[in-house]
Amino acid sequence: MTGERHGTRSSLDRALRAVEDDMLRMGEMVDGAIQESLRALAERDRGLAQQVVDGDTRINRLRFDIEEACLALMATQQPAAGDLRTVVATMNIVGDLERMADHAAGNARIVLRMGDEPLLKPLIDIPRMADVCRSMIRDSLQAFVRRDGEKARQIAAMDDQIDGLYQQVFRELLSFMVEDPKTTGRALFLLFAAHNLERIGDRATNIAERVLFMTSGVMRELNPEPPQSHDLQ
Amino acid sequence: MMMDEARAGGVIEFDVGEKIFTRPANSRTDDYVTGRFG
Repeated sequence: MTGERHGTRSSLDRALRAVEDDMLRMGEMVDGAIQESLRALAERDRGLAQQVVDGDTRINRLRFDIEEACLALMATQQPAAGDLRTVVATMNIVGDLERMADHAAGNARIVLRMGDEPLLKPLIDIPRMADVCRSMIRDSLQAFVRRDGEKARQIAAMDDQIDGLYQQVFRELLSFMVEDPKTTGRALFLLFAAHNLERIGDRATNIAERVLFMTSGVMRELNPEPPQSHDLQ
Repeated sequence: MMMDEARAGGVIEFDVGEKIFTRPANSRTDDYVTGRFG
């Protein structure tokens, strides 16, 4: 009886490990997409931007593959308690990662749409936002691997940095538009790029919430207050 | 009921089945229902 259970356990462990490995691989792909989309924006590299857009299809496919693996795991292994929460958290996390990749592809599309128009201003805060986003993704996936709920809580606090930077970018671009309405088009390109990164930060917070759920069983929002940057006042 | 150090058996956790199998409060309960021992 004991041996039988251990056999089932090791088969479940293998399946869980495979799903986790795929999720981490997906996280690396999303991290790369964010990095490359920002590089494409900074260097105005349309070829690179197109690569990010094209790469999004692979990320979408991997998300569905992982979800299917999770479904098969639930159907065949009947995971319970911590294992069940791990599988459910994984399914949610890959959904968030997939949306992050969409935002990165969105920024790459902005580069394509900008054509040869010069950047309205040098990129300062937007790359900082991207750096914080990438740290949040890496740290939240590391918290997942280590089953570290405390680290997950700390990651959610990093989203405040992103919201603060977004607010700064928003105000700065608004002042450009108010002073010279002809800059509106170019200002909006950068505002959309910053907004995509702000959304990525929110998705990274979702991952941290899922890690917290996985480790503790507690399901709650870590940053319940909406960012003030969404207000136009 | 599980074996513990002080006596032959003890109640580790008591709750509705849904909670025991999704989010047990005690890590030993979690280990038990996930087949890590027993």
